[in-house]
Amino acid sequence: MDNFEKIESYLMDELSKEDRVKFEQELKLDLQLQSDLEDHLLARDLIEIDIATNLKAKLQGLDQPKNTKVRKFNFKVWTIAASLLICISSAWIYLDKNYSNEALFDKNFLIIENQVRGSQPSSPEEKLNLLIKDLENGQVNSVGAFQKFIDENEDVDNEQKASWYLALAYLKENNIGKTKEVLQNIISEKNNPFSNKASILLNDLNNVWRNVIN
Amino acid sequence: MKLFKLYAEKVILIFEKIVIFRSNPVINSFMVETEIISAIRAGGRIRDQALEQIYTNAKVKNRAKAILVKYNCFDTDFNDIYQDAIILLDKNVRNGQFESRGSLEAYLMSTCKLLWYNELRRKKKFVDEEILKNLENTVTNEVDQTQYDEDLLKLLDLTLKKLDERCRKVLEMWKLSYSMSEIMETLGITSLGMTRKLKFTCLNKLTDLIKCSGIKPIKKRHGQF
Repeated sequence: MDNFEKIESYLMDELSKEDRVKFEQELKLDLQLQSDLEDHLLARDLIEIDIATNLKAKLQGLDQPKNTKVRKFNFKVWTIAASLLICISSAWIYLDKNYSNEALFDKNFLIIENQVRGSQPSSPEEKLNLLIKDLENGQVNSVGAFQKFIDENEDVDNEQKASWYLALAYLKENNIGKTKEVLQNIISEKNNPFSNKASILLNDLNNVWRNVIN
Repeated sequence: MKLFKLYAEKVILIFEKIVIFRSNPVINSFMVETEIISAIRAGGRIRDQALEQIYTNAKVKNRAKAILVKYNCFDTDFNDIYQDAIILLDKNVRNGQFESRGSLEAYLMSTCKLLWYNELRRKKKFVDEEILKNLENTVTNEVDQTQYDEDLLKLLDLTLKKLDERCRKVLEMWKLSYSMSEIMETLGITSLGMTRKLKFTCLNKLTDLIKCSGIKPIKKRHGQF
């Protein structure tokens, strides 16, 4: 063991009792060892000065006005929070505009309404047109009225059209289960002109994002 | 819409909690005196926390200010003295020189008085002799303050400041009783063995530089000028 290791063990209190006594005896006689120990202690004092300098800087840092620090931090945090809120709000507005029951009703109702307007005011069609107008105006019990029309009507075209509006009436009443049921019936019918629209609407109703807003 | 409001409120609440926690790092870990002493002795990050707690304790600081102001120690000087007193207290607690000598606060007050007394003696010309004598009577011998002559600064430039940052950091952390694994983690060293080796090499390098410098600063105890 060289002097460095011996001194290090001595100062770290890692020597056995006998080795410690031996070291101290050696120290009395060995001038080199004495000088090395002195250097070793000086090294420790120098490190202490470094520690003191760093601690002084830390303490001076604590004296800096805390408000600046907090304000700086707040600014960062609130910027992140505001960005997050803006993102969430934008996403919310987008989803609400595209996937809410109301939005889906408006999107699907307007398209068919234009087609209906061109129809002749003959009796069953005129009746259907009136029911559609009532649905548009938010008339109560549109579901019942369309259901009754389908039950009493014998014309396939009118029945198919009425089924589509029945689905929309359920949608307006927020009865999604029934809406889906009617749409599935429309899709399953061969040559039903509303089949494509029903598929699109059903897909929209099953969209995962709807779970977020409803 | 309700869900959205609920979500927004939760986000704001989380951010508020972060702000409160960050601006009060010791809010949930207030230490009593014995814990402060143990924390300083234990070293590592808990020491930093303990020292910060003492330093930011407004009551203690105001008491020290009230004492020193009687001896013409005002704001700028006081801040310096108070910081140095905390540094000396830290060193003496770590080195075992503070042992059941009354309360930590009383020790800190004595340290402040001793440091201010030394400072006044240093700039004797500008100080009223009566103030100095009054202070001398109150300064006790219970605080250990070892000083070196000006050669120490020369030595510092030629040795420790010559070491690279990594070496200085290892030695500082080691002297502050950080565990080898804490040093390893802080400096991004891959193994404990390499950390020990680095500490050994750096300390060896420092003692070699001291030898080569040929400078032997003279130690002085407080009161020797």
